[in-house]
Amino acid sequence: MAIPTEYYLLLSAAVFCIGLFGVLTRRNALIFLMSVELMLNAANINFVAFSLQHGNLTGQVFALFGMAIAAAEVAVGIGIILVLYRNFSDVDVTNATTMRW
Amino acid sequence: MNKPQLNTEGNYVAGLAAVALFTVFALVFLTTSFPVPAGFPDGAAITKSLGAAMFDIAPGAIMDDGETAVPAEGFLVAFLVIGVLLDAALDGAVMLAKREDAGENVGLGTGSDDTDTDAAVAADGGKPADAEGTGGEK
Repeated sequence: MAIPTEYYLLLSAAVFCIGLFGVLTRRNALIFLMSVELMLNAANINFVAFSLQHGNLTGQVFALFGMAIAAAEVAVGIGIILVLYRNFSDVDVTNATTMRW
Repeated sequence: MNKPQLNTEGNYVAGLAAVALFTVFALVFLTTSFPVPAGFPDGAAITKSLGAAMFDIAPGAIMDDGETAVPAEGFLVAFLVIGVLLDAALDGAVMLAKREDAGENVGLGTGSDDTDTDAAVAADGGKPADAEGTGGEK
């Protein structure tokens, strides 16, 4: 009665590609950050799916660590976007093409 | 313009790359055959086993009657390293967001010499940037 692993992988690929679509098409840095989160969570889906596939909990524990990494990444990302807004009065990533010191 | 509108800015041609990648993924995954998932045994205490794995406790020590432990590796060192990482990320975020004095910018540069302050601001519905001031809240 278990769901075959292929469908978990398909879900994960869909979530990852939605994140990739966002990164490739959007210009708002906040939406960039959300898209990167989607890509990270796609990896977590794979960890949990293969944990069930192998009957071993290592993948689930690693998915928890993946969530902690995502939290750290968002904390730093929000800080960077804050500085971006302060310096360029905008969060459009295409404006910040020059590095000023 | 007083109703929500679809955001049509951006390069949607580049997004086709993501759609193409999904097509490749789907083709690969649906033509691959995986063995039937091993799954977890009946009565497996998943959450208890997760806790035991994360803190390197012997799973048998915390199981009640009728609960079976699920095998996993020990993650105590990884847990501590992630704790340090979260601390460092918090410090980094505070360092990035902090201003030395009120109104003074720190970080990549200073915004006081911006010449494009009357450009539309993407973050606040396109109002001019100088309506709020470019230095953030004073």
